[in-house]
Amino acid sequence: APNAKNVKQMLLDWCRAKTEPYEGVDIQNFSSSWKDGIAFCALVHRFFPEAFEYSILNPNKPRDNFQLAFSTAKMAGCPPLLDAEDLVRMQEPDWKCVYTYIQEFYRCLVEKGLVKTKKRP
Amino acid sequence: TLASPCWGGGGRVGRETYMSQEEDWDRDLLLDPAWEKQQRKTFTAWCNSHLRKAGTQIENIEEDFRNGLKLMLLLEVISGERLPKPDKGKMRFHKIANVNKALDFICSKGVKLVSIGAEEIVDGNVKMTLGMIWTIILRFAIQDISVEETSAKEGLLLWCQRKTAPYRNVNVQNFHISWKDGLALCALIHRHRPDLIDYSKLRKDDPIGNLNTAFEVAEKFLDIPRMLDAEDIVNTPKPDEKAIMTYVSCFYHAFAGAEQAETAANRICKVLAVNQENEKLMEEYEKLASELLEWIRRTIPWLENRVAEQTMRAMQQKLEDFRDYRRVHKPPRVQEKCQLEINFNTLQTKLRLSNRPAFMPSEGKMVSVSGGAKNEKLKKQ
Repeated sequence: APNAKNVKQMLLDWCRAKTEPYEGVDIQNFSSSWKDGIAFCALVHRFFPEAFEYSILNPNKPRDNFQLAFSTAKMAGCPPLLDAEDLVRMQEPDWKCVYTYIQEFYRCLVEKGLVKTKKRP
Repeated sequence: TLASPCWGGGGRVGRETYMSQEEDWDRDLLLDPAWEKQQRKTFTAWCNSHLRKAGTQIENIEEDFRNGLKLMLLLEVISGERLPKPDKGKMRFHKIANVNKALDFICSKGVKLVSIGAEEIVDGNVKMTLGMIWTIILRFAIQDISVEETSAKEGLLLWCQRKTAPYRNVNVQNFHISWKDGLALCALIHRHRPDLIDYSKLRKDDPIGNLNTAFEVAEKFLDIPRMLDAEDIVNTPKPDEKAIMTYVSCFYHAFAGAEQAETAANRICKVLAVNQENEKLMEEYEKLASELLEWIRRTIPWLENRVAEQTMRAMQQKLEDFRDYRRVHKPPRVQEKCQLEINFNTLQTKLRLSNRPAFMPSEGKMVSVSGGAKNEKLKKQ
């Protein structure tokens, strides 16, 4: 079975791969890289491009970005595990919280058949 | 303390092991005490999002897992598998048994739970409970994540995009339609081997020609066998993605492998060149030292010859010879000796910098020895 380091790194790689085409996103970790909310939006937009217009997003409005990403993901079945207000209040997002959300988002995508895994190719 | 990120709980021996397993980036959490509250909230929300499917919820993450029942439910929901039946009793050992069933299940999936004990969970140890939930989230919940395939595909796409970026009429967005006109493939080849394809002569309206050019060149010069059919690709609205990916990845191996090998070769060349230089210096040193020693060897007997000459004339000649020696022959040799010393020191430094063993000149040729021979000679004067 994959150990913690592998899974974490794989999920990070997956995030990077999925957001690679998006400007203004550079995911290096599960904390500071998500601070302005744009990374969440890019990831969600990648799978639901019809939901909103990515290019008009403003990195200086993190609260709006978080809310947009989370509400869009919720429509796709991903529970809103993070709170935009909490994220905005903290200096930097807590990586374990971000990780929890992202892995849940990933699970939802697998559930919907939007992402292939070893078990569900 | 509240701010401690260590999940090990007070005083347990396993704490260090757990910490090192979870990696050191835990430590920077020491700065923000708000994290624990945030995590508690997030983890609770996460647990509930799953427990909901089993028709239940938790209100307090510290309390509601203590008897192990909801913990077992949580694992069943996440894994989609059944756990062994929980013990029905309400006593402490029943609770411990149930928590152990949950922990054993996690272990059976290959997830090592260092330092988490059923007793502490039953006793309501907050840090350990949160740590356990976190372990489940981190290591257990998306165990079957398979990013390799996705990453490989994205990586290959990225590589293609980067390599064909300078070619204005090429736009690689995927592994099907982007390759239909054959220009992407030709551009990829041309980027690495401009000698193989005259790219400027290619036209967008001759896709079959372009594709076949690429296939031919690849087969002939790059050792990549034909795998695709030009007509097929052009006539299918959306060509077979997997087939194209497979074919393109051969180019990746051919070119990217060469690039990597080249860098390694460059490095080796550099090292060899440095080694060669050093070897040369060593040779030069040896040669100069030999010459100097030879000269010393010849000169000493000459200097030692104190046999008085029979005639005044002969004596005068000898004196003049000696003066010559002092003024003409010796000085350059002194200089040679200095140079030898300098060379020696330079060489040693170079060797040290390139991690080579120190230079040990052959016997008798150490600077001090040749100095010694010199000194002896000087004394005899």
